[in-house]
Amino acid sequence: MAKSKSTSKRSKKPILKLNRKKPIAVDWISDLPDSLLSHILSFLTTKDAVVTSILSSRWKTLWTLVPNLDFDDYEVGFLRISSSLPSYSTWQRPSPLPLLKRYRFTFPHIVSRVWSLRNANPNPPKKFRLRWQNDCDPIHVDTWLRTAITRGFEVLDLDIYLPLPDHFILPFTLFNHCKTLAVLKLTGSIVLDPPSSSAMGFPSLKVLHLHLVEYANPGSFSRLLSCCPVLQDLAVQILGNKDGENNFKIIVPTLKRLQFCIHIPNYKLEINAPCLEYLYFVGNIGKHVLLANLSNLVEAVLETSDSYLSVRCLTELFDGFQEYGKRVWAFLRALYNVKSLHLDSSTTECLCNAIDFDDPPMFHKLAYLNFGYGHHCLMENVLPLLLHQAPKLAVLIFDKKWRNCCVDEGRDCFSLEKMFCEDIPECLSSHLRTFHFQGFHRIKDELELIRRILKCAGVLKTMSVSSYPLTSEGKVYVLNELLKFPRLSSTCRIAFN
Amino acid sequence: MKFCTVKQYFDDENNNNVTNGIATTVIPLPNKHLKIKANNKEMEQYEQELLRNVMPQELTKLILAANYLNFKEALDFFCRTVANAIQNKSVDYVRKFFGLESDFEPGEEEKLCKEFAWSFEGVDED
Repeated sequence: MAKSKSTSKRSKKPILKLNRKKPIAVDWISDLPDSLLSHILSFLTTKDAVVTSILSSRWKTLWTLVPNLDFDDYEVGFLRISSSLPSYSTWQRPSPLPLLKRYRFTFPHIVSRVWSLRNANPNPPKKFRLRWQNDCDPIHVDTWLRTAITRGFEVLDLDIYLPLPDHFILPFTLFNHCKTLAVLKLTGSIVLDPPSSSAMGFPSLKVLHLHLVEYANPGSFSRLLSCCPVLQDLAVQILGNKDGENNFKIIVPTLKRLQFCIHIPNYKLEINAPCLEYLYFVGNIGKHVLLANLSNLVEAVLETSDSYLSVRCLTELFDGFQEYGKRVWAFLRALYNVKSLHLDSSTTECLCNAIDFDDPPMFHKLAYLNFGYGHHCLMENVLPLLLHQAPKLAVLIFDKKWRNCCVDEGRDCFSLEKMFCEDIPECLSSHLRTFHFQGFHRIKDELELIRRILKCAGVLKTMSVSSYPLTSEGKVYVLNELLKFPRLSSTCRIAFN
Repeated sequence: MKFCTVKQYFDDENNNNVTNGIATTVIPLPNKHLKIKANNKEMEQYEQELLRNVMPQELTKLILAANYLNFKEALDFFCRTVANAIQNKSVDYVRKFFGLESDFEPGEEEKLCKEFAWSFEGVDED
């Protein structure tokens, strides 16, 4: 249990777990002033901070000095069924994990009580985080939100779940009176309806994350963005419902990081962000996607697939794949200045489908490429093509995902044909320093690929291989084979695990 | 920047706030911090090592020194270390850890425990 019966009358010098050598004198913590003690408490969740009020009379109200308040209905009073919390799939709101045990106090009771105790501190909280997924009552959420929104309010993180068709509409006061808000994160059953008043806007907002929320009107999304003049970090995950917003204009001159996740078939997207340094795109690339002004992009991660192709009829299928592949190449073209590119296996498969794309882009600054590999058997075209387009590539990571079709060792997973035998890409011979093969299966074509790269990599320093679990004889065999391969670069080290 | 206070400290010889020993721990921190800034795991290991080698009393002095020197990263680091040590632990454990003794009236403590019973949910049995 949390508390034992006996108190105090033990030895005056409790031995601490930290340092068994010397028992130290009592009470080293009380030298610190209240401000520093509450700073320590600010790194704890509110639930843990409140516990300290029982330590001693000095500590009774210290937790109220902490400028953050966070409440999570999974933490407070309810046992979780599993240790992992539900994570949202990419376009649907899952229902939350059911309650296993209901505690004596209800969640709103606890939150209201903590709020009222905290009012002993005349300074309102600067950060407010609330996750409420079981039996959420939007009236309470509205009340607490209005209390939190005061001068000096800096961070708001709301994660609400309400079963359809209910939802929580953000109060106008949030849009009109949060001039110091720097971080806004909204997840779940929340509707954004930015009012048309002139006071609307977030002049200090730097971080905006919108996950699976709804927008009241077409244009709400773009209007919200246009009132965030210093926005730097934007993450958007679009809810996959048919009648939702489907026109997204992300024209933000100050934006540095963008994550965009979308899985609806028809939408329009425009991204124009000259300061953008990091882009993470997940989902299907629609017909009307326009990327412009991304010359400062440093890193891009692409996980795309056309999940709607399976719905088309068979005769269109091939054209459909090719058409989509061209769209992926066109998307890549806009990322021409990146230094680091991460393409997952579905993306590279899509690129495969349109291998005769006219005028593939050159990536003159690309130094790091993470190439995900699925199981498509025309891989011998895409990898060399990309390497040809990236003359300065220094790090190549080949990430192979295990699929059932590759279980048979005898069958080739991908045909190498003449890959890297003639017409060796410039980056291989004179720039590649590190090659990492992840997901090695001990299939003969994998070894052959490594052999060919070792043969023509002139300045390779490290070649490392991570494999799926192998028997110890298997490991020995592979390591021996790897060491036998001739290496063009004399400084090359081989690692295998 | 953050080092103007450090310079001030070195200029001012009779400084009671920061003893030499503490200074040698705090000052190299910015370099260490910059090096392992991105790597969370390394930071955790460094934190563990620090906790093992440093006596709690020194931790207080480190916090006070970092605060005086206006060194935000170090201050956050040390405070977070203390917070991690008491996170999700029982009241008794935390009292022992800090060397505190309860000075409540009898019954007052029981009342508080009842009120905040919900916050003991899932606490480490220690």
